[in-house]
Amino acid sequence: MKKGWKIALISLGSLLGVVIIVVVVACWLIFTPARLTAIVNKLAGDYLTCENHFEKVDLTLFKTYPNVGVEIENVVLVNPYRFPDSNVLAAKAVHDDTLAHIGSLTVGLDLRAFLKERAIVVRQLRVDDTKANLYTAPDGWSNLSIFKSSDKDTPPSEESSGLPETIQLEKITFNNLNAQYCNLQQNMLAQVGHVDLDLKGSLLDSQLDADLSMDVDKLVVNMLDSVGADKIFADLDKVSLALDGEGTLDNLDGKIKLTVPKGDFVMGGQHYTTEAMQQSRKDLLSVYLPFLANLNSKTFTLGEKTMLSLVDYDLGLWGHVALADGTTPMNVDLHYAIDQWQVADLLAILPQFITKSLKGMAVDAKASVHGTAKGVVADGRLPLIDAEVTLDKGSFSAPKMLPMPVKNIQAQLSANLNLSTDSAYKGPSNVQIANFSAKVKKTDLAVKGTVEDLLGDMLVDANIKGNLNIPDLRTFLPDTMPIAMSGTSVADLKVKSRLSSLQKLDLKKIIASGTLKFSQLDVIYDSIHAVSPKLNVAVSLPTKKTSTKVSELLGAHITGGKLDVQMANKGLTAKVENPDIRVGLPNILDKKQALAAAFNIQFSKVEAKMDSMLVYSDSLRLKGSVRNDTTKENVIKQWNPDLDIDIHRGVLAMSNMSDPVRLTNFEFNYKPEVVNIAKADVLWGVSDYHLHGKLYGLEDWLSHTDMLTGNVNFSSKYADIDQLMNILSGMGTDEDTLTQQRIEDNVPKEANPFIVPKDVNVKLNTHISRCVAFGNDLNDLAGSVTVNDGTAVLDQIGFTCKAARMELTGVYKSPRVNHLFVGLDFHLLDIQIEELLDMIPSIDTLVPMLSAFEGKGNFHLAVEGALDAYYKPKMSTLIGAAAFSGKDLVVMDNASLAQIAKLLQFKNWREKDNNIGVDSISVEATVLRKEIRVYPFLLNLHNYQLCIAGQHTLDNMCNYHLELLKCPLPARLAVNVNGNLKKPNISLGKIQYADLYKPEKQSHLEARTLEVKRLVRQALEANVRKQD
Amino acid sequence: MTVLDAPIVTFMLLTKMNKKQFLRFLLLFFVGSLGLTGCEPEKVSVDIDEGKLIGVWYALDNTQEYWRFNIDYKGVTWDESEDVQESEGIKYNWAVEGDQLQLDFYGEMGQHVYYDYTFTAQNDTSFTWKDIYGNSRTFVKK
Repeated sequence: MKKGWKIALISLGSLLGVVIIVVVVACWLIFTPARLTAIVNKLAGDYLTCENHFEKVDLTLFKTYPNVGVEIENVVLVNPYRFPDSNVLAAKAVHDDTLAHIGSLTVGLDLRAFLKERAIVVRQLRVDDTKANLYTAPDGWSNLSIFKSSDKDTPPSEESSGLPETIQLEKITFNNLNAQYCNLQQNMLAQVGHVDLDLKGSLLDSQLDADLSMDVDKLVVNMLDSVGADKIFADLDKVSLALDGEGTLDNLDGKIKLTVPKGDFVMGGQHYTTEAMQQSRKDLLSVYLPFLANLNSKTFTLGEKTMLSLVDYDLGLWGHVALADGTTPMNVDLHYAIDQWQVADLLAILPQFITKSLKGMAVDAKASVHGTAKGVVADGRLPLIDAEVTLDKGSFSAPKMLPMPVKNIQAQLSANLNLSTDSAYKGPSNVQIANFSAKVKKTDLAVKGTVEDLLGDMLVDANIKGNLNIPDLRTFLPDTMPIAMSGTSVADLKVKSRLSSLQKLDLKKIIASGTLKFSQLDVIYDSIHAVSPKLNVAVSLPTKKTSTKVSELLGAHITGGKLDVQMANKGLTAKVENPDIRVGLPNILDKKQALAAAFNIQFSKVEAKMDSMLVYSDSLRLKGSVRNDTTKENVIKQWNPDLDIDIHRGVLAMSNMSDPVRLTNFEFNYKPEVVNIAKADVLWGVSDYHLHGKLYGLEDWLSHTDMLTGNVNFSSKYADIDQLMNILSGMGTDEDTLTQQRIEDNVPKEANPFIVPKDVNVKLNTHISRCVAFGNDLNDLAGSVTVNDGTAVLDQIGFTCKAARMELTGVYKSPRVNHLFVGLDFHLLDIQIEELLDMIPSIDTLVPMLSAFEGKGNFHLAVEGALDAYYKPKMSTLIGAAAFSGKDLVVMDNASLAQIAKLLQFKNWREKDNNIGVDSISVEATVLRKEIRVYPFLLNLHNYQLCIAGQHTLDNMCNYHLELLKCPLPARLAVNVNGNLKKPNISLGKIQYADLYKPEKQSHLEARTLEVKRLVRQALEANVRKQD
Repeated sequence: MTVLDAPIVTFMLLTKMNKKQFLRFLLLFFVGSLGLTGCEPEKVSVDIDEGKLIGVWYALDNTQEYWRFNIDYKGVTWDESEDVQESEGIKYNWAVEGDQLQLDFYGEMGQHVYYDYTFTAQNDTSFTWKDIYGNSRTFVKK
């Protein structure tokens, strides 16, 4: 530098220093603190209504350089007030009548602008060590109302206001600001402690340049609701705010940084901050918000780097915000993004009231969310929010709810939210589940669908698919349940329902359908073992099927290839093929509705074994319904079944049955009141049975409250009656009762008599072409068989055997095991005698001389007696009567007859063919116990008429008398036949019946004999059925 | 041939008998005539007191065979040796006519069996009857 310039500069600097010193000295002399203080106090008195004091006002150059500063020390404003009694906020607030106490207040003024343009321009404001206490009473009075009101008629001029003409603040600084704001009208109390604020900037000709830095040691805000409860309570420490903005008012580029390292935030009584948040090394809350603002239009554009962070969790935010302006409401168009939040960690720091619903659960996933919020923000209106949610590596565990953890959760969801509460702007909030997948042990699940009305009563429409590992299902069942399962299943289910319906399990409002395809299913439950290589189950809610019996709501359709079931403890094995089972259920969760089911079950093949019993069918169909009534006693009444059962080509075989029973067709309907056998074609051995008819009161019979009644048509081409009786024996009497009866009657087990079913009154209308009964072949048997409470009645059975047309009324009763009643009313019409004797050999015992005849006749027999358990007759109970009448008979030649004829001097009594013809015969006989009596009967042999009568015993000892009533000779001869019937002693006897058939001469005894004979026959013939 | 021979000869012609056969017939005729007239059984008359019959009696030849006579002229007989109880026995109606006891046994199948007995003895503790073939049985009050 040249020396001249150096000297000049030094000179100029010295001159400037002198000028400054002169100015300062001048100011010191003219604007002395005392004078300025007095001026300010005076002005304050003019403007302020409250008590005020400005201790010292002075000018300064250095503190506000390059501006001229006015420094005021110890400013005190006092405006007394009084808190109302019993006010919660007032109790929390610090009461102080001092409105403000400012340690130091410095204002920097632009001296150049004042000197050149006479403009008062404030460049700086510095406030140090301030305590402020602002108060608004419940009635709206504020201790800030300290300025005197101006003349209402004359608006204050700018000059008279005394305020600077231009505020061009370049720097505002608050140091150590402590303040309380208590607004009892709005129930709010705010307190700040040690606030340092530094604001630099300018607003000139709409050009704004601002740089704000604020640190708050303590910020406490408390807002109460109308009843005095905490609405919001915030207690924040070390709050730091930095705001930087530059540009014009309509294009201000800036950024905001806010950090809240620690603090507590309570809203509505709930703590939103937790101990975990406090202990984090990261700030409780931090906000970085770059923006571009148009302050004129109040619109803001948030930069893409905008970030809101709660401890470790960052929320990216960008977009546009237009603040409310006059009639235009606030409008936002924002994007947000959350990247890879670890849900478990987040839940660990969230307050309990948010996570309490997850108590007992462990939830985790990596969650990413991005989306938009667009729309108006106004009273009742909120922007529409779209969200794309991605969950990865998620897991869920809730031992009390799910016995197994859910792992590998992956999900992609899209949500559209309308949070507006104003009905005019309300709209749907939906979630689209693009994909949700999870794994439970070896079970994979995948869900797709939508959730509509997300914020209201959610409408879920989901498609659930899964590969189920059946053993995994075991863990969902109680440990005490004796069940083991294996196999797999492919599930494909669709559900559509409101959430409320799902929560309430209101099945009427839930739509669900789907299939479960089981493979290699193997289930062991207790002693039941079921195996199926393939089984499909289709379910539908509501079901399309309808039943008149059951209000079907739930439907299930089970189909498959094979199903094997074993019951080890019952010795039961069952195999079915092609099961086709349709089941319809009502609302099973409706406790007011009785449990019921409609079903249609078909099997193409059934094979079941139980102990020694085998059941087989080519086709089994079971259709019907059941309805539960728990008030009833027995199982059938409790379930009130209505069943149609069809069995085709069925077989029933048992070890104690010589032949299997084949059900070629078996169709019947069961209703509580009636069993309708529509068709039953049965083959058993060589027998065939065809039944149709109705049975009534089966349920009451099973519960031992009433009799089983019915009327069944029974037809057969060939029937083994003996075989049938063996099966029906004892039906209706339980085994214990039979055993007890055996003990009481001292009957051994090997004796197995037919016990007529008890409490049964069933009539069988029979038509049997051929049958074998008690070893006899019978033809064209027709009539009724009635089983009535321990009594079996063969009523007016008519049939023809080889020998005759026959009518049989039989009674069989089994009051005791060792006392079996048998009664017969037996009519053989137009009978061949030899066939009769062949069919009923015992007739020869009853009427021994009948075997001596050949030809046709009519035979009547009514006899009854008791049998023991071995069917051995109890002779002491035998009582019977028989009658035989015939015409044009031939007497068989035999030695006894020849001897009798010789004794009676028969001559020429044979026919030309050497046969012995009998014109007619009419024999009546009775049996009582062991004694058989043959009443006198006449035998016309050509020219002879014989009267025969007598008695014999069942051990063949006889005592007969044959007397010649007519003969060519004028003599009366008689012979006696005594001794053993097989080899009798025949000798001449006394004449006894000379007057028997002479009414005018017969004795009283003879008359009675003939009367008895007539009565016996009359009683027998009265039972003969009239021919149509 | 005498006049008396005429009917004899006529009888022989009608019956185509020879003399030997006729003589044999004649012999039988006389024997038979004697039989008809010479063997009438001895009639024993007993005054029967119906009232004494009422009650239960057992047979002396089978002490397990019982007969009950009821005052309504009904009765029942049963044999416990065959495990038959009273309710399972044979029922009957009874009537007394002179010394005759008429029993009308009846069964459930509509059959009736009529037996008549002749009392030959009766006292308070026993009675005896005889059937039409002359077989007697004695019963003792139970």
